[in-house]
Order: sequence, then structure tokens, then C-alpha cells
Amino acid sequence: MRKVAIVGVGHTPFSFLAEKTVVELFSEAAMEAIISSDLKAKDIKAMFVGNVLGDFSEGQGMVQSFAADEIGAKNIPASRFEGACASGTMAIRDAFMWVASGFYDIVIAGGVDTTSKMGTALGTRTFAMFTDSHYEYPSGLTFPGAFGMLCHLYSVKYGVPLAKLKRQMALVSVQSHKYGQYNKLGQLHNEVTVDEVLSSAMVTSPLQLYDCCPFSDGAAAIVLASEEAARKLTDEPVYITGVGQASSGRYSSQKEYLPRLRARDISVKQAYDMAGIKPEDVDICELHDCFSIASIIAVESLGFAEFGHGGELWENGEADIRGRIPINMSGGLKSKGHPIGATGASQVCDIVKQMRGAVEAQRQVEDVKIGLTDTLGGDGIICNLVLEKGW
Amino acid sequence: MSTFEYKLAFKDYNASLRKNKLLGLSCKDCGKVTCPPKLVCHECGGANLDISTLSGKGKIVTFTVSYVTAQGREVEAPILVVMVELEEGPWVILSALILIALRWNL
Repeated sequence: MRKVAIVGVGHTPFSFLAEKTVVELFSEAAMEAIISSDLKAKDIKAMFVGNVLGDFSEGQGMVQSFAADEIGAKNIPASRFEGACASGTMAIRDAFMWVASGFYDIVIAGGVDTTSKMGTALGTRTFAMFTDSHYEYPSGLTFPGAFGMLCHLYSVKYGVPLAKLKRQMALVSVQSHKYGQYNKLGQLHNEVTVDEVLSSAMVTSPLQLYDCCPFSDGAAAIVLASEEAARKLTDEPVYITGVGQASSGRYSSQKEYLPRLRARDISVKQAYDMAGIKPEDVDICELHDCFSIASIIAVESLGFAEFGHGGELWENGEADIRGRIPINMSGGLKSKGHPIGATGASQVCDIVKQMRGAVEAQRQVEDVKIGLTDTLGGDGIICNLVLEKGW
Repeated sequence: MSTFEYKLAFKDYNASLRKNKLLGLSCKDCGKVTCPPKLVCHECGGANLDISTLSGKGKIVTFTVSYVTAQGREVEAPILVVMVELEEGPWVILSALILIALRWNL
């Protein structure tokens, strides 16, 4: 396998009710990634796009083909990836393998969604499609509901009193907003306090409004190139040195593992082993905080905390900008926003910018050499990527 | 007819549930029970399965009360959703109403 580098990145603003269409958003992100890679659209040999709900939000399928044509990369093979909120990382992982294999030298990958255009009721309906439509959804299960259940289960299984856990969860949201306010491409730019989180409206017990990420519109894209091609294009290549992906069945079928998600244990081990690193080698992590409890569950399987102790990373500042493992300095899904197909690509974009010293000063981590992304889809698709600074 | 068929597909599982009877699959190889049904045994992957009627008894392991519902289900809010560890072993996600119906009728 060949080494694969990320050359350039592109990222639209994340927002409520974007004025642009799902195709326009992805096309803009893709073109930014191509231009910043010192390339032209005709240099791109294939396109890999995570898009989940274009069909429902805009009546638009096949976003990838239209976007390829929009940017002038006419007639290239363009493929869509659908793994709910993990779609963008799935697209990048496949793009990585096509370049690593030697089949293509330069490709583009990313994702896009415009879920806020659906409104909360249809949005909640469509997000619930990523539970089992016949064996889970009829019970009334929604996607936030699934994490509400995991939260109660976490409290019981690990013996963390719910009041203590809720406070830890609030600290997760507080930190996401603390850094997200500075992210010019993010959706929410307000700080929140623990008291505001704990007094916000109940969505699905015990998750309140500020435990939940917003519905969002936006796109992100990256150009991937072989090591040889990348050397000619940039002095600051970021190598993808480890990839992982795993899937699970229904939540209830993961009974012996819950509240942790079995797919994450498997996926992140693949990524760490392939990169030849351990959790303590990671300098920065962008993880899938669709709900505050999801962050606490994630850091444990990623190896940053013992099971049942994830929340302590936010209590004692270890997840903060100068902590042991800075987490979600982009603002995460909670504050930056979560246009689901774009999210995995957005995580990668932000870590690349962190390595290049190109994010807003208030959220810039010093000396980032190794980054990890973690993206979760539905009942349990997990994708992880290890990124390493190449200069 | 395909050469490899579901022993218990959704249609029959659901029809039974509507009569307050919870069906599962007992594995003749490992003895474990799979519920809701799958094409193969959840525990060992074997395909040597028998349909069995489950007791409908178990322990609620977690729950949530959802105040924000999906489009078309607004009148059901708030919805109490439970995850139950059945006494036969599997975990299932059910609405609280189905849980009550199972307990009254079985």
C-alpha cells in the first residue's frame, strides 16, 4: 500500500437553513479543497461523497454526480456513501484505499447535508431511520432517545449517580461552546453555562436541549493524493496513517457491551494498530458528540479514560486545550454543528488546520503531530482515522 | 421460494406481537435465544433454529421518555421507551404499552 496524504481542505460555513442547495454546498467545499491543493478540477480522478438525507431535505439524490459536474470534473466516477452520521468518514476511508492501492493518484472526498431544512419533526423522523425501522422504531425510539437510554444505562452500569453524570455532561457542552464560539465556520457562537445546560428543555430523558447537537446545513471536503503526488503540491501534507471501520446491529443486540458501542472498540483498534500508535500518542481528537453523553462514552472506548470515568476528562480539564488530550477544539457537533454527511470530513478538515496552525488563535492547540477522528452512524457504524503531520 | 428462508420473519413476529405473544428463536446448536429474530442465531451464528414463545417477563435495564417525537407521532408524546432484558436472555427495545400488554396477557 502507498502512503496517502491530505493536500487541501474545503469547508463551508455550517448553519441553520442554508441559502444554498445541497449540491451547491458540496461543490463549494470541493472547489475550495481543489484550489487550496493547487489543482484544477480536471486533475481529480474520482469523487467520494457522504450524503445521507439529500433525498428528504431537498428531493435530491445522486448529489455526488451533480457536484462533480458542477465543479467541472466531468464524467469522473462519483460514489455516494450512506452510513448515517458516519458517512463522511466512510467516504474518506474508501477514497484513502483507492489511492493507497495505486488505482488513483488524486481524488476528492467529503460530505454534505442540509438537515435543518427539514424542520425538527421531519428531521427527527429521518434520523430515526438509522435505528431498526421494524424492530426498534415502532416502540417510539428516536435517535436522541437511543442516547437517552444509553445515558440511564451508563449511570446504573458504572455506578455514577445521575446527578453527577448530568453535571459531567453539562461540562462537555460548556467546553464545546467555549471553543465553538471562535470557529468562524461553526453554527453556534454563544457560550453556555452549566446552569443553562441543566435548565434547558427536556428532549428525551435525561437529555436536555443543550445536551444535543443542532440540525445543520453544510459541507466539507478534502483532496487526497499519493505521497509522490502530494510532495509536488504541498509542503504541509497530512498523512492518513490509520483507518478503521466497523458496524453493529440493533442497539439491543449489543447488550453485553452497552453503553459502549462495540463497533468503536473494533474500529479504533484497527486505526491505532495500522498507524502503530497508542491512545497516549494522540495530540488532538475530534469525536462524535452528537449528544453530551456520547462524548463520555466515546473517550472510554478510544482509550483516553477508563470505563465509567470518561466524564472526569472534562471535570479536571484533561479534555481542554492545554489538557492531556484536547477534544473537539472545533466546537464539536454540539457547537460547530452537525450536517451529518459532512461531519466526518469536517473533523478531518479541522485537524489538518490545527496541524498547519491555521485555526483561530483562541482554539489553536500547540504542536499537534498526531490527530484522531471518531465518527458514529446510527445504531453503530464507527469510523476512525489517524492523521499525522507530514513535515 | 429461496433456498434459505427466515425461520421467523418480521411479518410473523409482528403478527404474534399484536396478539400479545412474544416470539423468539431457540438455537438447537448453542441453546441460546435470539429476539427480535434474525436470520441466524445472534450468539453463535448457527442456522439451526426453532421458533419459541417467550415468557414476556424480564427486567427493564434502561428507558427514556421522549418529549420530541418523529413527524406523525406527535400525539403519542411523551413516549416511554424501554430496553428490557428478557428472562430468556435477549435484550429488546419496546414501547411501555407493549410491555404492559405482554405482562397482562401472558
